[in-house]
Amino acid sequence: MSVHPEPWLVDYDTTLASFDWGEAWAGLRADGQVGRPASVNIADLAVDRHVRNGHGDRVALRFIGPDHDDIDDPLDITYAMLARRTNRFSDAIRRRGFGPGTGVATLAGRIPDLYVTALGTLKAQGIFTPLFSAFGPDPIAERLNLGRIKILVTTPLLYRRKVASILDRLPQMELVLVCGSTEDEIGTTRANGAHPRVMSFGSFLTEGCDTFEAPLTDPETPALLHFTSATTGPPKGAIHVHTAVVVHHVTGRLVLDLHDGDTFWCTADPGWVTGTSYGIIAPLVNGVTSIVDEAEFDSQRWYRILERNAVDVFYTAPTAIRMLQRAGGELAAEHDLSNLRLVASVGEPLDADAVRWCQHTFGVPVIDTWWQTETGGIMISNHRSQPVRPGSMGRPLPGIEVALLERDADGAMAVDAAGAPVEIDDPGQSGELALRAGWPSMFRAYLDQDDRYQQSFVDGWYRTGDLARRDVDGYYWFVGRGDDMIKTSGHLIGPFEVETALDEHPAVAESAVIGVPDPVAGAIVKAFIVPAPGHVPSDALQRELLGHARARLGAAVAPREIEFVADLPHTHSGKTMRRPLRNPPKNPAGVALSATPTSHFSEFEDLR
Amino acid sequence: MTDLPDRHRHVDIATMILSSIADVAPESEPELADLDHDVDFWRELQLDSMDLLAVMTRLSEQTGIDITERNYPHLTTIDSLRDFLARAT
Repeated sequence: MSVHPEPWLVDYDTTLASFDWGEAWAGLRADGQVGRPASVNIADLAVDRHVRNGHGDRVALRFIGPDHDDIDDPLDITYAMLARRTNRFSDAIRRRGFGPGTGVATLAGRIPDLYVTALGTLKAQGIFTPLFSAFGPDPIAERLNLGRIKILVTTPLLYRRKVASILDRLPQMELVLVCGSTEDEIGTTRANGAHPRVMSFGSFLTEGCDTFEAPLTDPETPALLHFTSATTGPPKGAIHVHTAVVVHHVTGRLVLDLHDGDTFWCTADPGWVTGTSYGIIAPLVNGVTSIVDEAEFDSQRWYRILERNAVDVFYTAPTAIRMLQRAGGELAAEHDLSNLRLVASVGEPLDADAVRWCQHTFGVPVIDTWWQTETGGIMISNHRSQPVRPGSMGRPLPGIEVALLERDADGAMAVDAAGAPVEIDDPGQSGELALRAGWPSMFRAYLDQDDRYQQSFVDGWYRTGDLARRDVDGYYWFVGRGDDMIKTSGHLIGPFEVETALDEHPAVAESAVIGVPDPVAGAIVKAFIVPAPGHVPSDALQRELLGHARARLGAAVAPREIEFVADLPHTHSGKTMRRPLRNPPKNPAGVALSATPTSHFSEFEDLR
Repeated sequence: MTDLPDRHRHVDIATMILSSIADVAPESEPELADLDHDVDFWRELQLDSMDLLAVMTRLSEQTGIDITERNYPHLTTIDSLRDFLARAT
């Protein structure tokens, strides 16, 4: 049994009372002074700083390949190696004339080149955008265009399956870099001189030099662009700036409790914000060794990785914890997990049952954390040293002010006589979770959608869209989404994008997409579809629409269930109402579905 | 099924597996005919862990064979899945 270090946060109230963002910088500055420095670069703090401080030989990233045998034969990249390789990438993009602000995206699994691209882009003051590799071609093309991405890094498989077919739809793309392939292999699929240029990542790196020095930049310089789906309209591109790194550093300590010499494993895919903030930046800024597993979830594999690498801190999703729970505690008991001192989760509420199972099985605290793309880092959480309230998201990060704002019956923000939002103090009452604007990792814009950005603030509060309540001791409890967004397998899916893809099919007159509860994923995406005239609901049609949606959107976003209905509920202005579909009244007639011609479909009949 | 010679049983089981995949991921249907039976088809067809769960549940229901999560890591190819189901019947 190993001896665990003292937690960074020993007493919540003391830390809360004394915390100051300026002082938080002291741990990151070479001179140890407090206050935000005049210039900064996330990649310099995450990589080069450790080399300067004599820790170049420390393992930064331990990559485990996708196969079974790879668990025993990982690829270790030290901080010094990572510094050289990211220098090459930065230098190569600069030499090709891509200046600060260049948009660089990745569409790849958890492979080493993705991490080099992310950090190399930040070094060169580009803007890094990760895309989830399970997206279909449509969401990929839309995000690449919205983000004005000029360089895309991808794999041969994803290039072949998803990128090659959309190249003509990407007018702003200049360079596509394919990892793990040779020029010859790519040359067979694409003509020389075609636009955009497609080349191998490996030969691109040879154009750069090992000794590039990361230029420091204004702390407000954009660094990351993360897309997040919307309830209506195109995805929103949340922009984060270099100064956000202080939040990654602080939460790595106060929440994830990372210490020198730790091995940390965040299972999130860098295609989503968690995989970037906590799969790349936070562990590196804190100088620990980070595990990266290329394979998908597999309970036995995961226990072996935890054991073999003596993982100290494990950050994963409730869906994964529930899958481990399904696989049984005996499996865990077969492995030596004594190094583990903290399990944390994010993505959707961690139910009390899963917390208790996990605590019992691993014998360590299991803490839920709450944050979202727009917040850039963990904002509310339980803490290792504090009693965990199973089912609660915990208490605010020191330095973050949280409130619950009252909403009226229609979901609009309630205001007092002076027009100001109304804060809720009653522990029994739920309201919209809001954060006092101005924390360092707050998003600075929705790219090209300033009206939407402004709408997410009220009277100096950032509105999260999540409903929660607060108990008498100040712990927050998630109640639900305040809008139509769907939390599935730890990802936030916007119904609009799914409906748009479905509506493009000629057999669909209209569709509405909601989340329905699921024991493993938390919720799954379900589509209600009104068939177009001349199309009759059938198993074959259902299958065709499922295939259509999956091919366009990818498995992660497409519906898992499709149900045909005669009509959908609408507002007086003709907007589709999704809420009645989520909470159908006892008497289906109340949903205002009109009668239609007969159908052999039972669910179809039920909803008439 | 048990009366058939082994070769025929194998063909039947492989067909059943492919049709379960097509049910869960209809978009993969055009590729299934040419799918190598010894490659990791979850990766090849870009199926996620929820798809995996759905396919395994379907196969369990159809065959009455209990496929536990413990078995999943060894069932990544059509061949391995077919052998597993054939042995268990």
